[in-house]
Amino acid sequence: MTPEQVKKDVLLAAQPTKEFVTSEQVAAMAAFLISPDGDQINGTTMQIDGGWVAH
Amino acid sequence: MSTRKTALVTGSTSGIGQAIATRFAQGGADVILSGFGDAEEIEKSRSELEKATGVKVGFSGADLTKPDAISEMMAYAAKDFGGVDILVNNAGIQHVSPIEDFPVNKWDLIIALNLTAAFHTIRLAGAASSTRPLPTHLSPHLTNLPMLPPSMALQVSPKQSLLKGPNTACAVMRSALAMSTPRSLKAKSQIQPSHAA
Repeated sequence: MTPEQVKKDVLLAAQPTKEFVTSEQVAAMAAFLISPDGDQINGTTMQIDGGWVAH
Repeated sequence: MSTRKTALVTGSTSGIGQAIATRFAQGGADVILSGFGDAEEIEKSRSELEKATGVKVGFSGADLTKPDAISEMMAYAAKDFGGVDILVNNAGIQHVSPIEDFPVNKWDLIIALNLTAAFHTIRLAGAASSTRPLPTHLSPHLTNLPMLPPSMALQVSPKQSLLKGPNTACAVMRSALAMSTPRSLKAKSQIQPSHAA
């Protein structure tokens, strides 16, 4: 298998977008949650997983 | 003392934690980095972040598997930053193994870091805020965000399923915090990323 195949067919097999989440994308969500716009998001879980749990 | 909010991000010497700390600093919060790593490299990134953003950036090398070390870290936050307004429990480790081969010391370490450390940081951040004035702009936010292992609690590989234990416990703790709404703690949410690059 090529490294690209391992990425898409093994590591990201269950992730429909076939792209890794980036640390910056997670950080942007964290910034939103602590901002006033995120005040009413409380006690929940925000999925950033490219659709991993969607199927 | 600064009027900026202070964010403590555990496990922020690399990866997701570092990205969060950087983002918060860019947004104008003072930031306390926490984690392990090469002392010179950590100091370099700490001072560079401080210079680039103009906020105050601190560091704690506390071993978060040790409650006393966490107490010292929170005391440092109180002394040098006036307390913690935003707490991000990001530090975490994982280990993949069938249960019959799972090293006992690894299990203890995972529970201590991924779960118990969050209990202590939340407990101590809450205790500290009850003893100091709480102007609105300094209301503690609390984002309980354990960087749980990739693929998380809902769908994991059979060998990773053991980690559902601490993950689920973190989720329960998050929900309990959300319902208890102590003082002005808020945004008690988790982020569950899959594999992050």
